[in-house]
Amino acid sequence: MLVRYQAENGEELQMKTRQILVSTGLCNLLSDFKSHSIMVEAGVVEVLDKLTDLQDKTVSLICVKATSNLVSNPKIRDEILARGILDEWMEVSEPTRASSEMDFHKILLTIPFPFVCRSAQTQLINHKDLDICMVCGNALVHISYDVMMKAEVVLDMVENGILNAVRQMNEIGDSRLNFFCATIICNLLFESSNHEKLVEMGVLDIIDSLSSDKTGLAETKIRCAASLERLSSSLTSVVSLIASMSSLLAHSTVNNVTHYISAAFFSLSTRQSCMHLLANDREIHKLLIAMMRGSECDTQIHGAKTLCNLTCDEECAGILLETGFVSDFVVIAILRTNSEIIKEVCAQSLFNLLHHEKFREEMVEIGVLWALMKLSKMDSRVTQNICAKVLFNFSCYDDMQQKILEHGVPRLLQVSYRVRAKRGMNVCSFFSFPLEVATKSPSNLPEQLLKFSHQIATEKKEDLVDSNTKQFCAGALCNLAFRKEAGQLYAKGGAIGFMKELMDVEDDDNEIYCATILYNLSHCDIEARFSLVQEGAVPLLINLSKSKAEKTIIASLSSMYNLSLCMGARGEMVKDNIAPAMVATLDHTSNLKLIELGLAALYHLTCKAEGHDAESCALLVKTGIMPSVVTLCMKFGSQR
Amino acid sequence: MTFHPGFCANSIHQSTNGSVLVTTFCSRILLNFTLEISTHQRLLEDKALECLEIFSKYIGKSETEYEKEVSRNGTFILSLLCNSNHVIGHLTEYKLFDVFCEHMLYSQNSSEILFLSQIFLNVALHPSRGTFLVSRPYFEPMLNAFALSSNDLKANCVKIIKLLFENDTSKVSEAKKMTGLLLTNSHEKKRLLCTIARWQ
Repeated sequence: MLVRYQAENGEELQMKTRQILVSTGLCNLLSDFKSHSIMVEAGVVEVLDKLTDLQDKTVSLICVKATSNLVSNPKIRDEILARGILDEWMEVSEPTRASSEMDFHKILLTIPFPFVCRSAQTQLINHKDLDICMVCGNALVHISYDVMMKAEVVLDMVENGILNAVRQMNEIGDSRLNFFCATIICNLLFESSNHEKLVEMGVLDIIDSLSSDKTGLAETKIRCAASLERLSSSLTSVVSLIASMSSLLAHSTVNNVTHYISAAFFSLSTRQSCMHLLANDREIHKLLIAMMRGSECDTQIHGAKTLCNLTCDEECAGILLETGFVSDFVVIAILRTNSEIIKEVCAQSLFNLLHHEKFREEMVEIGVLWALMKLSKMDSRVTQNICAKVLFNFSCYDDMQQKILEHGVPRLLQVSYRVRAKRGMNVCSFFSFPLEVATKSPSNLPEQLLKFSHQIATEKKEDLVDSNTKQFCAGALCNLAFRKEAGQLYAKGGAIGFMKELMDVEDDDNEIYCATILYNLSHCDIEARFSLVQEGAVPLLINLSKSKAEKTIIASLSSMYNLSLCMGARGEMVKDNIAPAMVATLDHTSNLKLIELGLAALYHLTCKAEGHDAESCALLVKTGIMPSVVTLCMKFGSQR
Repeated sequence: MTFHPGFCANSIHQSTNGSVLVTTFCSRILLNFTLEISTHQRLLEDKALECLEIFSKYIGKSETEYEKEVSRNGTFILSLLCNSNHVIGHLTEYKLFDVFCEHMLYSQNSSEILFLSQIFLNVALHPSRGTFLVSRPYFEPMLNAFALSSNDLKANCVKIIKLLFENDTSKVSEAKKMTGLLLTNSHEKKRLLCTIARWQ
């Protein structure tokens, strides 16, 4: 078309006009990436070079644009480099010689190297021409994008003054140029190794300037927010960064800006060195709660996770309590969100809040424990795990047991039921804590920070969580079972069923939990012992009688003895065939005290309030236990 | 006076004997079982008599309350087991039978002597056990003791002798001899003898 136009009108056109038309045509053709290879092959680079040599400002500007289009294609750039044109252009781009606009397009072609920046800076400082700046900015955006993963090249660019060029562009006050500025900065901040240097050279000031532009484009502010988010991952001194984040939030309500800032806050909260700073800043707490209240889901998640991390700090927990944010938190967790992930994170935060002994009473008073138990009703293994963990921790303290007994036991049983239903009880024991038979378990759980941990995605990890939950439930039930009033609660709540299913999986931990729960439970009120027998304690004891583990034997025999003290339960126990289990358990020990205990229990079964129980005695003899009694008597009885 | 000290022991060796509580509970359990007569055959099959043998070792050697209880329970168990015909035959084969009976006889305890009379009455009911009874070395003093005691015991004594006469005629002469011995003692015994003679 160009050739045809020239043929038809060439003679009538002046030389300059033809030059402009040719350069414009080339520029337009080069705006399409697909044509680049053919154009370069056809000699477009040489043509542009010649046109520039004409030293006409208008033509040169068009050539700069054309070249900018061409250089934006990395493949072509590499080809140009391979052809050795680079050396020539590098010479041209020397600062002393790169003084004219005519050379600028050549400088741009020297690709992500310091010369470009230097020239860009020179051009921007010298001319402040919007068109030139737009081309320069666009080129720098491309260049910074190409090199953003090469930290050493970026550092070179920074040292050679790219930030000055950005400042110059910013000073022009054009919103499009500001967008380029923000994009360039965002690209430069991609690699964290240059963060300190960039901050030292004033990148935060530029970001603040871009952020506070009331007429600025939303995209510019989003890139500023993204830049701050990048800085949050590694910057050592974060006071200014936090100030910039807060300032940006104050100047923008764009969702993506809030999202990036929330991610930045979260990133800071995962760093131990920054946590305390955030934990004690009430304004930040306010911002985070606001994020949780009314933002988009991802932002809410960031806000929730940040608060979760901050709640690991005791002072923060105190401040949240004092400012009433804990109540807000509870309301958000229970009512204002339907997101399972947010509820899970909230549950983690509530766990952390309850962790601080200093405020525990108050936290319980204002409903944190209640909220956690409520959250555990949802079908989330993470939340259920946390609930089980809290209840276990509470169960380790005498003064706290009373608070959780009535509502905690049903929750524990329901949670453990759900875990069983989900996993079919095929669980392994990866986590255990010491459990002393006949005593409550000490709380030796790690006081861990519940940090971002959404990597639990594999089936194996899910199994691990479920196994962990089950053991917390078992541990808590173990401890609570020791209370006198626990008997009825457990019996009616399905605890025996839970224990039976625990025993269905051959696992040492399961066995000891089961034996210990039953042992502790057997100390309940005498009347409640009857309920336990009615609910199936004997089949459970029969199951336990297979064990040769000393702790299980102790717990089983003690349980049998305690249950046998309940007169009303004796007949049931005999009918349920407890006697063979008793002698089988005794067969596994040579401990005299245990044998005495077991025989005492057996003796109880032969009696009722007024003498011997004829029916039970007849049944007991029928079970064939007498040879074992004879053996025990001969082996362990006093030999005169 | 010169006191010669012995060697000092370095350590006190505790008794390795078993637990008296174990024996006590076993005796209580067996006693309760034995109170149900329907269990006797099974107890016999399950070698409960071996337990009784252990209890018999406490006879006359009991010091503590538990030991005394074992002894008492053992006696009671024996007397209960003698209520079952099929058990008596086995019981009399054990040495423990004599141990318990002699103990009861010399215990000076009226309830135990009553037990003994019941045991002998039950044994006497067993057709082939007459000779066994009469040949017991304590048979004579036992009848004497019965004759000198309460009316119940006297009645039992008469029943025993009567049964012996009825069930084992070859031993009548021995029975007569016994009744002759009884005659020498008192007017009361004369009446007893008359009674026996009348039955004859």
